[in-house]
Amino acid sequence: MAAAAAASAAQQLSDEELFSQLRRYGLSPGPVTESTRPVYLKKLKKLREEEQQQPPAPPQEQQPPPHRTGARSAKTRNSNNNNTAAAGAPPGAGAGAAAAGAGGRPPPGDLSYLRTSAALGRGSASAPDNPPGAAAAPALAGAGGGSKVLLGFSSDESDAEASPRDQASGGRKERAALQSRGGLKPAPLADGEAGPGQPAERRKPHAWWGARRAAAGPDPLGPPGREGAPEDAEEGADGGGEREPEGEELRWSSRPVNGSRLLPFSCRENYSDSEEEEEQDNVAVARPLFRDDSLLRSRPRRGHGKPPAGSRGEASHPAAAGGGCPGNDRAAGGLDRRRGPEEGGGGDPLDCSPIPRYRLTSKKQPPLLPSTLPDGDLALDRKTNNHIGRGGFHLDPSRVYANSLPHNPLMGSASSPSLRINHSNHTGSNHTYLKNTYNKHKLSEPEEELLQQFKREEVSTTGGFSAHYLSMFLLTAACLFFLILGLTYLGMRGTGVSEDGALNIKSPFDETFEKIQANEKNLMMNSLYKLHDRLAQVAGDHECGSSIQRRLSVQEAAAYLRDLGPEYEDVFNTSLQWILENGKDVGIRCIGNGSNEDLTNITDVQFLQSTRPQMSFWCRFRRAFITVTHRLLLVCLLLLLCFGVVMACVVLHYVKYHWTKEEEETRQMYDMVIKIIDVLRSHNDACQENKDLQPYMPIPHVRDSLIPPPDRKKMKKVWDRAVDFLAADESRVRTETRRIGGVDFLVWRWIQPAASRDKILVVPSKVWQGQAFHLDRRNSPPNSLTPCLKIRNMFDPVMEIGDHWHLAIQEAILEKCSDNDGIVHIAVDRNSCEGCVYVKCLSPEYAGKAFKALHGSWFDGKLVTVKYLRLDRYHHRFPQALTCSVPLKPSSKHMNSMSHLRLQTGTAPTQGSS
Amino acid sequence: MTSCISTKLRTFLGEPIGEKCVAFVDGVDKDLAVRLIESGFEKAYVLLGQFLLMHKKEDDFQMWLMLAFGATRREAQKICICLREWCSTFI
Repeated sequence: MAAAAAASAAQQLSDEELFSQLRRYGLSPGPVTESTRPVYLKKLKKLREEEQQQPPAPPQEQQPPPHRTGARSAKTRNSNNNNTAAAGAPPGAGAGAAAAGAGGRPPPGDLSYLRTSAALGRGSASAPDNPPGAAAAPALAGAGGGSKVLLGFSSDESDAEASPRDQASGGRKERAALQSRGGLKPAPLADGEAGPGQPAERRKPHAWWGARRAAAGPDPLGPPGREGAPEDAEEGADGGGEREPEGEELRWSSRPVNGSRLLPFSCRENYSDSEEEEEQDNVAVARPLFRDDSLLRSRPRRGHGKPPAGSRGEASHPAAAGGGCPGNDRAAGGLDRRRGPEEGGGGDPLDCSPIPRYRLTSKKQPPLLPSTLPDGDLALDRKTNNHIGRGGFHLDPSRVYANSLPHNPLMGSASSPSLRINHSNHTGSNHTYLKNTYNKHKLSEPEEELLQQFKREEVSTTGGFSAHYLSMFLLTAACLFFLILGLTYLGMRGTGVSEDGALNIKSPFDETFEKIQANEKNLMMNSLYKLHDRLAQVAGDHECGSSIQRRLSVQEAAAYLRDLGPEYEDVFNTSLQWILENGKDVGIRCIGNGSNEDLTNITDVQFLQSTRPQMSFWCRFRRAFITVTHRLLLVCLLLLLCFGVVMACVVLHYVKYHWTKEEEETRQMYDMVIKIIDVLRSHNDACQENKDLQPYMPIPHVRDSLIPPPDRKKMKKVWDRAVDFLAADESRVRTETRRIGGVDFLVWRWIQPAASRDKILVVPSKVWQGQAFHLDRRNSPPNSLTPCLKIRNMFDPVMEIGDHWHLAIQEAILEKCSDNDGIVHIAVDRNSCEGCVYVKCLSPEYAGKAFKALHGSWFDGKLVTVKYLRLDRYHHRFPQALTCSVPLKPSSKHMNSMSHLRLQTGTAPTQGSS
Repeated sequence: MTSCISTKLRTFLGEPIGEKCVAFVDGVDKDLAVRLIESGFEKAYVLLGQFLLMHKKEDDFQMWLMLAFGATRREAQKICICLREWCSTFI
């Protein structure tokens, strides 16, 4: 067949051919680029060897046709429209399928593939970079054929039924849907299905992304899809893997472009899509999804066969949606793409990490996993699937797509055997775990980017998390509250004591009870019980407020007992005696007239009181509630107190901060006022010279000349205050309104008569003015001693105004030593009265050069002198200079401080020498 | 300020600076005078001008003298004092 023929000419395989070959083997290859090509070739060779060893399974035959058709359709679609959103009408069958993805065009099941590819084509805005290859077309066709049972994406994204088939197809569908949606959304991302084959593959991830995003719904599908995808990956890892990484690369590198590339992938085949997606998704979320598809596609493998295919159509959509969701999460995170709610809707982006996804998928797709055909169908799927290691490969490629090559082969070979076993024996979880491990190891840069994006997704999903946690917290808080209430209530129990009372009463038996005879014991106990109950009742009534009497007098107690029975009366005294002698609390307390303790004889006992009042439930509850409320009130008061303290602190800090800010602003305002006065004065001088100038200056012009544009907004407040100050407190400046050029301006006029003011020699500031003396043995050390210099007399701290004059000093030094590229650290000591600047150079030689350039120069009318410093002292003073090693350069080319020197020709004449 | 000022200083301060040679400034010995003259500071008023240009800052002026002409600290101090006193007297 064509594939075979192509296989034979492996060396001259074009990308599309390679892709289709791999797909034929059941792989879900990623985009075949220069980097992935060798990997895929190797995989293809391996697959061919295996194929020769085992007879090609019949299902395999089924695969290619669908693929082909799908590819073809995809191709057509691709050719028709690349970018635009899925809305682009897919051509022909592809159109149908794509339509589904696009947004609800009901695609025929068959066309699911087509649709995906179409969607891919459409979704991805970018032009199909992968040349729609014949291989791709066949592959697609094969996929399409396989997916003919698929219902097509359009059926509905919200079809969240996660039947395995559905999921598998859903993955695809989702992809298609995503693509269509993706087309709607960022077109580039979505389905720019360039060509059915590789382009499709490449784009699949994108499409998948888009599809996921688009697919609002099917979460379940997502995970199932994902699981499927891993399966797919397993099935046909090599090709898919290679292509996918490529696609991933493309995708990552340029989202729009990649998106389109991804689409083709997704369109392509279920497994290829899934595989590709997985690989391309960092997290391989897509992959699981697509794997499902692949799984489904490789019907023979899966055992889903046709039904899955059909359902795949359905499932793909949901799966796509579901997978999309997770994938979306990933994709969104990674690709920054449509994180849209639609996608999220489908798959709850709970975790962006691939692992959860995998797990998710694995859980959801248990049925699929066994059916996935790790090895048997490998021949079938490998061709198309790039995943070298079925599961792992998927993961890896996704991770590594940038370094796809090294990883893919590794993953493929390593994981495929294990994966095979896994697939055949375990559920997708194994697969995912395996993949996870692999993935973890092979984090390449793009993968890391993706992961980071996913992490961002995670972060963004913390909102949802916190909501969940919040509800849990509230629930536990409520439970705790009620628990405390109940405990408190129990603590106030009334007659719950009867059992305890019995216990208590029984406990002292050993001591005092022996004294009493046996026959009396029972009687006494009975009487005591009765008495106890009666007393508890009385006390309870008293506690609950219904009576005012809490205790019973002895006579009343005796009368009560007498009423109950004559025999009780006899033992009354004995019981009393026993109670007295018994020091423990039996529930009855004997109270005498006077003090409580001096009850030695029963005759002293006047009243009996229960220590455990029996109260009705409602009474108890009420009391407990009141107690709890009181306690809560106390707590609240305490909290309020603390809160008040905290508020006081906050207010204090704020006041302090405000105050310092005020001070700073005032200082700035005065600086500004000084500058304005200088400007006005100089302008006035200029006016004296040049009678053409107007003797006033518009205020905005002054502001613009004093404040650089970036600071204007920042300094607005300061400027306004300065203006007000001048208007109020400066007598030499008058504020007027003048019409300049037809526009009214507020102007300042300097009104100090010039005659009364001395002409100030305008000394250029911050310029080098020549060398005072030649450096000879007398005034400079013979050799450079250390790499650190201390330069004196660069400035006068008292005269400096503004915040950034030290930068001008640094600039001046750098400009003076512009030929010396060994200065690594400069520190202007703003507080030094000598005007010191400390400089560190790379080596003493550089320091010597700087010394020669600086020592004895005139700067700003001052003689600059330099001396060497010890390196350890310098580092002690400036620890940050320890690590400096980058030579500093003057920041501007103008070298303003050297302007005077530039005017001088030959050797710079010194001020003092002729 | 010591009350017993040197003769040279008193002489220098007693009259307008005129066209005196720089060697007349108190603190300038022969070698230093030669160096000053070589550098162009022939007349005393030139040195005075330098002093004034440096805003009559004594430390800077002394530093300059020491660095540019190899004057000793003592010499530089004397020169500076001399010129300063002249300035306070005549300016």
